[in-house]
Amino acid sequence: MKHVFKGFAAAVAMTAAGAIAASAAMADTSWPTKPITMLIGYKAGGGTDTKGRVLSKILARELGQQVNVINRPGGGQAVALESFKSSGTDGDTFFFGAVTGITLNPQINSALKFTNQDYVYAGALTEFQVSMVAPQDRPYDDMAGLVKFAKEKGGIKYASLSPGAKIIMQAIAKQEGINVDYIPTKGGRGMVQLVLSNQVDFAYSGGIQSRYPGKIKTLAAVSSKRLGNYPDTPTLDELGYKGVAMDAPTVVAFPKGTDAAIIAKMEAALKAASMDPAMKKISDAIKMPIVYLNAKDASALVTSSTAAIADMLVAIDYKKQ
Amino acid sequence: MLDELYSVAGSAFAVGNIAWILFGVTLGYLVGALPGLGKGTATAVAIPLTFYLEPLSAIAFLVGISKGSTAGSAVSAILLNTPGEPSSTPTAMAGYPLARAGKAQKALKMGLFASVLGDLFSTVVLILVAQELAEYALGIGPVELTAILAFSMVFIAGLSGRSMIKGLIAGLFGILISCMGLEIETGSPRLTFGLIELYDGLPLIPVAIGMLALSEMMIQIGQRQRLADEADLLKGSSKREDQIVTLADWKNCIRPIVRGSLIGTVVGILPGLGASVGSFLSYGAERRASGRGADFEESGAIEGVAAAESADNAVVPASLVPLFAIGIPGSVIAAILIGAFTIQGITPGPLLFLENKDLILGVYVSMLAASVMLLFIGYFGQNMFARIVRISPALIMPIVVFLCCIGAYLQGGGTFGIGVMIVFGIIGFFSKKYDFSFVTFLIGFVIGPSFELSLRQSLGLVTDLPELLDHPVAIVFAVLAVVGVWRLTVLQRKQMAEMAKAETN
Repeated sequence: MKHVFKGFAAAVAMTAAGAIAASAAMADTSWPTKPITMLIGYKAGGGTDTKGRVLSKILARELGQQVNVINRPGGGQAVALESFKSSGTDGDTFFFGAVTGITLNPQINSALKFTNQDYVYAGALTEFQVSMVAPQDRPYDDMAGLVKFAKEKGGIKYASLSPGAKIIMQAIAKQEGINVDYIPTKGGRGMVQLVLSNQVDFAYSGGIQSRYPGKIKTLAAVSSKRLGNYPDTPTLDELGYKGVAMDAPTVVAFPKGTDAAIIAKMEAALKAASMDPAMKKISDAIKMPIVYLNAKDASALVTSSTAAIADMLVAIDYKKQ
Repeated sequence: MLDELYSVAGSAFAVGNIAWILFGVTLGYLVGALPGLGKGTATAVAIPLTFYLEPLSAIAFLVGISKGSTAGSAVSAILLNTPGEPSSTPTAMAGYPLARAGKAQKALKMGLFASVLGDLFSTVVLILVAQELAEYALGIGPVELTAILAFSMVFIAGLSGRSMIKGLIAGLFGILISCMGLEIETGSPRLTFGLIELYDGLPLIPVAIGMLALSEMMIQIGQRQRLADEADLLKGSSKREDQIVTLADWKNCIRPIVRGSLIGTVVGILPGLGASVGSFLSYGAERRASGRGADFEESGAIEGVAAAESADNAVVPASLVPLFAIGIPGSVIAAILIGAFTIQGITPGPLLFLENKDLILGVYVSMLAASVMLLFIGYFGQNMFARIVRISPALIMPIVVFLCCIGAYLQGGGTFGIGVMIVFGIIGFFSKKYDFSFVTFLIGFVIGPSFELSLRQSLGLVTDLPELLDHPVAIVFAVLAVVGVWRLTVLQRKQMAEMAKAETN
């Protein structure tokens, strides 16, 4: 009797699974049937959080369900990503944040047990304008000038706002054979203070310099392609630093195994959000341009960026912490 | 300046705007009065509410919340010994014993008056000198901060209680604990025991709640009989002079309030120091000036409440000076306000006074209005909150422990925060039993990370010793710190000699 029941249950389950698979194939799903959660790996009130909360309102309209924002700060989004990995594949929870939490952090920290393979990506919406910047009145305007300055002076001071910023500069310093003093800073604002008060020669920036026109100048783009805010500024790769790049789009991700139909629906909602006037207003205000990537392109970027960072770590002989 | 303020007063006093300020101050005061919830939480959570407001109303609302919650956090500090945020810790230390002695109303009122005065003073400073002061604030870099923090730590070491060695042990333990988390430059984990939750270090609020409130509850539960005897006292003294702020209280408190307002304003203007440094410094200064020593925490001190609250509230407006003028926040509140400004399409920084002058002036007028509203809302709100102390300890203790858990849960990343709180509750229990100063522990814990960061930045920035001469401010504070250590040692020796003498007698 027990066996019969088990068999029956299995049959029901299979039929149900088949039905779900069929509906997935048509890229049509009733998801979301209840409010869903946007997981943000930073504290409330920051840049990513602000954007996420605006996005959550637009997504709620597009998806026809409430989108609740939950902040799980800690460890450069690691706390959020670790718990999120196993939060279920029914589309109840999705992650919104800078992709470096996935592409970079697990590669430099052996305690993190997640990789870029643990998630699927529904798209990207904006990107941090990662770049090398310097105080306005410095005698150099580009990387070549900076390197020349460093060689004449015997060394330069670099405000390094994250482990990733240090890795990028170590790779450049190795190629050029220059001495760099790394001054750690806490976040972009700590960096701005050192640059504005002329205490460092140059710095790594997530794009915050756009708020200080005439005070901070942009030397080079750290991304693999040129940046929206600085179309005339060459990338490090263009300048001859092959393979030295860090891409930081903000992606929307689900745990691996999430139904393709859910991904497709979120992809469409993100595309609508990328053209929404409210999103445009926020992006203009915080000067972080909308750079929409569909699911396929976002996944490809995650893969290529992860590989590029891995190569860079080998090049500078990095020891995993 | 005055006529300019007058010209925008019309828009600032528009009915809608005033309503938002009032709502902000009330909401802030209520949230602040809950244990474990402070200005950071209150303001951050309110930001999405401002999406659809006019810029002036939005900023005025948020400023109202931050002012209200800063003053409100004194309520739970004094009544329940649970500071809503670390900067109210000294308020709890000096104010809770007063509540135990039946003088809760007096402490609450003085705390409120000191809050409003400190806040008002700092707001006026902001209005008058924001533009001029900002340039100087920028000159305070890591080297200067290192010296200022070193000086602050020496100064606060004077709070260490009877034994300086025990105070130092507690302070260094605080610094050790503050080293937990990812190392700032390379991101290598320190003392994290493989726990990802510890990557950003121990959460401050659960540690503070555990050390102060939970340990206190454990001690009190152990003394239930004595408490029952004291219960009558807790209900509030029937004497009228214990319930109101008398002329004599004002005489005692006016100096700490003036000093606290000044300290808080300076700390607010300097980026990177934070409200806790302000209130602890002001509290420490008053404790030394009074000459009462550890009696401050044993029998409570209205002057201590006044000193801590005036400085705590003065930090908030002053921290907007560097924000408005150069775009650098001087406090958590200011950092959160940046998010609110940018949502409204306004960039805090040098161009603010050129592009949005009317808005800034409107914010100034709103801030002054918020100070006045704070006085009224606080005054009437307190009557309601002060009833808490009339409840029997047997009922109130479980409720306090429950509220502690909520605060730790919200601020410490869920149940992990509660775990942290319990561990530090036990540590706090033993440190109180064996007279290890939990004050120096908390100070070490709060200042530790800023000190490490600015010290390491300085080591990179100053590569040659002669370069130090470019930092005269740093040299002054370094010298003051050395003098402070010397004076403390002399003082300690004297006390030891006196104690030895007393024993031989």
